[in-house]
Amino acid sequence: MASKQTVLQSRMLFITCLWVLMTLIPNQLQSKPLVITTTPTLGQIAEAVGGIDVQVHSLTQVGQDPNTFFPRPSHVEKISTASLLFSAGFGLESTWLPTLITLSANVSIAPGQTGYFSGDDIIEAIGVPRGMTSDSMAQWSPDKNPYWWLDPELGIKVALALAIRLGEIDPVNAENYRLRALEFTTAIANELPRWRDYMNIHTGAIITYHNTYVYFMKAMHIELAGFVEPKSGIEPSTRHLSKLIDIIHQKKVKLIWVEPYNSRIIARRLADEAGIRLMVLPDSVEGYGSEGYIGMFEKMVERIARWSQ
Amino acid sequence: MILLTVLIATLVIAISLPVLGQRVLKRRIVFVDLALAQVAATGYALGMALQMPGILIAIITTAVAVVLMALMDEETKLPKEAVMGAVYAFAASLGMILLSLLPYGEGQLMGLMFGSILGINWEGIGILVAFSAIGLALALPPHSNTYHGRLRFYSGLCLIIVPAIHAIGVLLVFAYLVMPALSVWRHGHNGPVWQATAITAVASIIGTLAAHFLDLPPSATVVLTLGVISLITGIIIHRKVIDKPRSEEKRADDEEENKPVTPSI
Repeated sequence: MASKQTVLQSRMLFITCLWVLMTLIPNQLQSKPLVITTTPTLGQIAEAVGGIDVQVHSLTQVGQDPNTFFPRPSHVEKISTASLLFSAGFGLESTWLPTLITLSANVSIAPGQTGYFSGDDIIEAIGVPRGMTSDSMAQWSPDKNPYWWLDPELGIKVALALAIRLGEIDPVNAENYRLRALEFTTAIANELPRWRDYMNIHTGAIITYHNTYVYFMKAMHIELAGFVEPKSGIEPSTRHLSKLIDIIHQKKVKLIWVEPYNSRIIARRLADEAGIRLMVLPDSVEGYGSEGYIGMFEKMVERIARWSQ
Repeated sequence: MILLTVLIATLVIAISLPVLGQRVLKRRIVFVDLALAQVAATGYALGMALQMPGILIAIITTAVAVVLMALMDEETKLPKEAVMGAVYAFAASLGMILLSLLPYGEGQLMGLMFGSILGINWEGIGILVAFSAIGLALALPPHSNTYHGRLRFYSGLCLIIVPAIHAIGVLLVFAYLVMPALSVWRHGHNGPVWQATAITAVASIIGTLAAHFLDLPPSATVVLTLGVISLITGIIIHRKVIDKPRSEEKRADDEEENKPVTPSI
């Protein structure tokens, strides 16, 4: 009888322990702040700073154009539980993100709240890069260029600000966030001189399809010779393309860079006509945290160097 | 050189599309080009999703669409434009869903299926000429309202429109198909083919050169030029068509008045 009671008691103890474990584990997971980012590269910056203390989810995938993203109901559900929404800003997500925030009914991530973190609150758009023609400058709006993450130094600046913001949301781990942001800074600072040297050896002036890579070119001291499509979505004129061919010959341009998600038809025609090469350059790559972010620059530098041969 | 290829490409479609547009307008199936182009684009996206050659799947899906469209009798009581619109909406929605699963494919797909006049080279012009010639040979000869007749017409249509949209973009193809045919439309019937072709050729030359010298997007400028010329020509033809019956009516009235009165018996 006594042994039966002991078995029953031990069973009850086991069930109680299991219940405690089952309730504790999800709570542990849920207690981590959920950071939602609009692009995968912003996700890598958030992972680099947040590490194991946060959960990170990117709304768009590698290779996807964040300008023309179509959110699904699962995205609304995801964003409704977010502690922090991390966007690039400068109008990149303006066509879909405000609606997504409204639908989520998550007031803590609305603009102006602690849970809303945008690149355009931290950095200022860069000035007109060297080497641009007067026509290109007139058509370029520097305050609207949202691709700041392609400048590693701006990535550092935003990561440091992100560490402070995460510390406000999750004060217990504030020191961890600060330390990780410093590690991220060191890792990039160690690589940056090598990337710049590599680019100075291998590239001359470059033509790009849109203004996506302007931050990268400024960071790597690469001269911009012009854009194939100066106004996004507006077909360039034949006169503009003729001028670009003249510029290509004058400045001995060797490459045209195109984003993975843009049509290559016009750029390919221009490259063929001018006798130069067209290459697709990523603006994000797969990978976790600072390794993924640094990996993107490694891939860009390696690819540019290879194609410039 | 880019200006020259743009000009030649617009002149090539200025020969093939207006005459085809007259056939399309007569059958009241204007949305057929958008529907077929969208079916081809969706087929391409499906091929990419299935990790198969996109072009092959695009050809198969477009061929299936042509076979199904040919089942529809030309005298059907169904509103044919609504059927074409429904095919377009269905294919576009399916394509959008497939694209959402293929983040890498967006640029490639858009580039392959919806071209730009600026992207065409001499090889592209050659392909456009070859497909236009085969397509016109199939679509233009008169055909009876039988399944085989309709299949021949839709096949010809497809062979011209899908490569044209791929090469020069949907905006130009739609405008070249509809505007000149509409401009010379008279008494509820198609006008002379030479008039529609001449309007389009003139618009191609003026529009392309205007876009170059005014530094404007060529596709939109050519379409605007074609629109203005088509409108002016259309008004002139319309007035002539109205004046002609009036003068004929007046002449008949005069003849009636001058007729000698015959005494009734």
